[in-house]
Amino acid sequence: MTKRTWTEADIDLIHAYIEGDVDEEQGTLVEQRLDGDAAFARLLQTVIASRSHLGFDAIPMPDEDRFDAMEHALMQKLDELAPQKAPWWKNLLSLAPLPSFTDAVAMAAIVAVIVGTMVLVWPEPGPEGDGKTAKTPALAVKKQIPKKQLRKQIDWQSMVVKRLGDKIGPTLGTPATLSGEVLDSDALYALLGRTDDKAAIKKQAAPATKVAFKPNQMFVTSTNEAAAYRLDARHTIALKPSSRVEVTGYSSGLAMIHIHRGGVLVIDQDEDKQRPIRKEMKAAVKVKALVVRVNNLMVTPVGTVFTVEKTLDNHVNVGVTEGSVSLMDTRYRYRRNTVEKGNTASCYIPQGSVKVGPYKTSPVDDFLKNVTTVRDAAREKQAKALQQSGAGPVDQPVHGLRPKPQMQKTDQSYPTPNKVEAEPSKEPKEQTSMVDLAQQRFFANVRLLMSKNQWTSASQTLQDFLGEATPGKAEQEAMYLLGICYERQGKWEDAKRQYERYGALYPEGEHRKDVRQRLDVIIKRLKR
Amino acid sequence: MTTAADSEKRAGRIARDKQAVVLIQRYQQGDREAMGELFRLYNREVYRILYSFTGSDFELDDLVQEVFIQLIKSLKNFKFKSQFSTWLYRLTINVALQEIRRRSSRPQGVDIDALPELGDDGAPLWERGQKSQMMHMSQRILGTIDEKKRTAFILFEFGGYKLKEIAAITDASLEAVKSRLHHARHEFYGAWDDLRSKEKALLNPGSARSEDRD
Repeated sequence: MTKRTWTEADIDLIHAYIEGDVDEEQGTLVEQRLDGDAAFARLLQTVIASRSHLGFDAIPMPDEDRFDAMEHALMQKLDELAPQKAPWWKNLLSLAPLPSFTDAVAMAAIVAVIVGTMVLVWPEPGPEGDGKTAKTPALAVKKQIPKKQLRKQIDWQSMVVKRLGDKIGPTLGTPATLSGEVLDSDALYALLGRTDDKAAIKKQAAPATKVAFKPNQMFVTSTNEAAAYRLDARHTIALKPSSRVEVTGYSSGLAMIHIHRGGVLVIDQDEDKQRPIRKEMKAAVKVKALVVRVNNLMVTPVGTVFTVEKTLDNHVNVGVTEGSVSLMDTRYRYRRNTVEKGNTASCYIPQGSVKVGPYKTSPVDDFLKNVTTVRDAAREKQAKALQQSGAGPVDQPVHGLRPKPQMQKTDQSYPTPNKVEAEPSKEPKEQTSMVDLAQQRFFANVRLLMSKNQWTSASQTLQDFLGEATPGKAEQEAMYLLGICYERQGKWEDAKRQYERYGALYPEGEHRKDVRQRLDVIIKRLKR
Repeated sequence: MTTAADSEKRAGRIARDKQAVVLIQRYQQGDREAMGELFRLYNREVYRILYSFTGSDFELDDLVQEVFIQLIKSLKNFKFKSQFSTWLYRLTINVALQEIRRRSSRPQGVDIDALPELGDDGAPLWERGQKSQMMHMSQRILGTIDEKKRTAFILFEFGGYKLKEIAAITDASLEAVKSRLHHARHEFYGAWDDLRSKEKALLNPGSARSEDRD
């Protein structure tokens, strides 16, 4: 810490100087002092910098749409706050002058006589009368269901969204502010590891830092940092370390998070230009689902319905903490999982799609009616490219989800919203040789091990493979994955060697950019 | 502060106040739309004050709404004796301070604005984030300053309000405002000077680089 040499008077002088409230002589003195006194000069810099950063003029103003949304919400609130119509007797009292004491006593006496007469004259209920007829009409009150309760009964889906809305906004279509928490790596891995132990998750997921996400903003994670985006106390979305996450399609009522490498999170709400948020908001369109996909890990609120098409590695993990989900693979089989509190359901799908819906909607047709389709053309393209190049999805279902031909027939009858999955592509299968298929299966297994954080097993498998591998795409892929495994195990030297080898053998390789980035990070780390 | 821009701002505020009086009267007579106009007239200034106090636009939409909801609820108590803006800003500051207190009772927040934005300039993220980090740093310092001093400081230093205006908004004497401002300035710039020195020390070649921190 440097020693502060300026005084309180200096602060006033600096301010006067900045604001032009000094005469010529004072100004010259200030400038002379600025040349000779480093602390004084630093103070000037500080004042200028603080004003430029915190000054009202420097505050980034939200766009008109956001203010419109605020105004819209305010006007709605205004209607709610409007004074309720006073009951007739109150109006009557307000019109009539207040009665004197004697008048009031007289009125009370008259009322007492009338009530007494009614009680005496009114017939008593007969022995055979039921409870309803026994009641006096004057005292029978129609039991009304409270509006809130009624809404809960009929608007189950929007209630779910509304619950989210506490954090996200009135509807997901409006400019939203999301909040989340950064968790430590262990907590993230606990989540990724699909542990069933709710207490363990809770214990490990103790918030370290709270982070606010908002549209068009970024969140940066350093290399080994893990972040989790928490929707509320029960729903957590884990972000992979060094990941780039984008949320798109807010205005269309769906939010997707794609994760890429690069260490930046972007939440963008202006993706769908054709349906401006403002219009949608005015039309009070309710968002049906929040679809979040983070490196194939999905966590969704109870009751969310969505479809994911063409996952990159055929693995979708759907987590719910309460309630149930249905998992559906339209191409091969239809399956439902009831998920109890604190559990997650995972489904590996070979070249298909997963539909997740509320378990309550038992008839398949009803279920599909509610399905909101999410399409990701870029991902599809990428998946297709990978598939064609031999590194993509394999026809190897995991977790006992074996393809059943008879189920294909059944699935064809489903009114699936996905044209891509309605016609299963046979071309890659025909083009794929047995060797390619074996390699694909091998890499799928390796990725599975990696997704379970079994880095040692994965690296051992890859080492064995590389010992016998011939130069080619498979070797390339194996080297790259092995480097990642080493990184995760903290074997920086090994990872460095692996990446350097990759760079030397495959300078034009598919992962060259990522390898270079990773190598740079490792070199920096090792230097340190 | 006596710059032309400030005079212009002040003239704008006076004009807005006059307009506000008409709108409030219209609203009190049952014109619902007048509230919308009033919102459009003051939303930006309210937003700025809230932003300056809370240091981010996280949940600011809700706070802006909260200010105007409180305004609607208490508008019947407005007797046109003071300037409307003074009254509204007092309300705004109260909402902001309440929010700060509420946030301080929860885990420490990290503002997304304090994090770097993505650009194509190829500059390292930590450099791009420097400005926002400084903003975050300023907010941290402001958080350590007493509420009354902080209010005077923010309004004077960053909002360009006159001492008299601040005295009216905070319902304090001119002398009290001067004193608060004096202390707040010393605390703020002193703390910032210290923090910057620490930051410089951290960025020395010998030290660990913050962007590589894991």
